[in-house]
Amino acid sequence: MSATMLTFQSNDGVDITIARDVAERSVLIKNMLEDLGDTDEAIPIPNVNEAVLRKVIEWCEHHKGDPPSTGDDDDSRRKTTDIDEWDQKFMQVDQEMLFEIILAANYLDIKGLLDVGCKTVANMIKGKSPEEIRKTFNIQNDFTPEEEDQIRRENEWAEE
Amino acid sequence: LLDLPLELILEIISYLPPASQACFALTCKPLYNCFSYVLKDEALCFPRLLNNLNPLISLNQKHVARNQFLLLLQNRRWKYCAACLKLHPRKEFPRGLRSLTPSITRKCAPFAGILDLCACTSLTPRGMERLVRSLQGAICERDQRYPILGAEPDGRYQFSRDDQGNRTLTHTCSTPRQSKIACRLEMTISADGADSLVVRTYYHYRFRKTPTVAIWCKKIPTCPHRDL
Repeated sequence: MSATMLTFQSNDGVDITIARDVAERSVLIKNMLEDLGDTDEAIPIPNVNEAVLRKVIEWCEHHKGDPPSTGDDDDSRRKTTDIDEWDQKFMQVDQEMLFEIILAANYLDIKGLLDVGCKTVANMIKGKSPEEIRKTFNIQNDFTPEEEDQIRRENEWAEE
Repeated sequence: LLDLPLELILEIISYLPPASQACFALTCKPLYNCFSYVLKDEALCFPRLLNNLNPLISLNQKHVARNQFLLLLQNRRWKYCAACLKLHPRKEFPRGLRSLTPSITRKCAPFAGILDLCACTSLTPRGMERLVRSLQGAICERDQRYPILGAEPDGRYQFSRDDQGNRTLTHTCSTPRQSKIACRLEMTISADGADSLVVRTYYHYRFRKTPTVAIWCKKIPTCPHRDL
C-alpha cells in the first residue's frame, strides 16, 4: 500500500507535504518513487526554492486530473501558443519567477508546465522588433551599427 | 532569459514563427551566434520568383513571413519598400510618402519593381543601377559593399569584352526543379549609352527522356514573360 501523502524539502530547507498523485505529475518524482519505494522522510528537491516549489505544486494540483501527455502530440502542440485562461493567470509573475518555474519544470520533468512556461515566454517575444525584445528582457545590444548594416546587406534585407 | 540553458531557449523559439525567431536572434551577439541559422530560413530569403515559382510570396503581402520580418526590422533609419521587397534608408523614399502610406504599400519610386532575369538573379532598381555602373567601369564605393546582381559571387558570372570593346557580363545557369528537362541558359548583359541594360539570353533545352504528352502539357518556366 503506497503512501498517499509525501513530504518534499525545498533547497532552502522548507518541508511541504502534498498528495502523491499531485507529486506524480513530475516524471522525475514518479520514477524516483518507483525506484526507491515508499518513504516517510522528506524528499529533498535540491534545485528549487520554497516559493518556486509552491508555485509548481499549485500548478500540479490544478492539473492533477489532466490526462498524462503521450509525447506524440508534438505536432499539434507546436502550431499554437494558446494558453488556457487559468494558466495565463498562473503565469502572471515577474520574469525571474517565470524563468525559475521553467527551470524547475524542466528539472522535475513536468511537461505540461514546461510547455506553458515556454509558450508564455514565446508570447512575450512574438510580434516584437529586436529592439522591443531587448527592452522586454533587458538584453544589451552589443552589435555596432556597422555590424548591423553588414548583416542587413548580407542577407539581402536592405539595399541603398 | 540568457541564463536559461540552450535547450530551453530552443524549446521557447520553437513556438515562434520565422519572423519572430529571426528578430530574437538579432537582439545580441550571444543569441546571434547560437541561432543565426534561423536567419537563413527559406521563408525569410529574398523571393526570387523564377526560383520559387510562387507569385504569392514574391509580393508585398502581409502574410508572407519575409515581409512580416522586414516590417519588424523597420526603424528610424530603415523603411520597408513594397516594390523592392527590401529595406531602404528612409531618405530614399519620396518625401510625402515617408509617413503617410501604410508601410506594406510604400514604394521607393512609383515604377520600382523587381526584374527576374533567371532563377538565381533578380534585379532591383538599385541592383540594376549598380550593374550599369559596373559595366561602364564607374562603380562607386557603396557599390562594392553589395554582391553583383544581388547574388553570391561565383563562377557563374564573368566580365568580358565584346567585339566593340565594351564591357559585358556573361552568366551561365541552369534552371532548377525540372527533373525531365535540362535547361541551360547563357546570358550576356551589356549597358547601352542611355544607362539601360541590354540582356540577351539563349536557352538550351535537353530532354532527358523522349518527350511524352505529359511533358508537353507542362509549362516550363524560362523567363518572366515566356513559358514553353
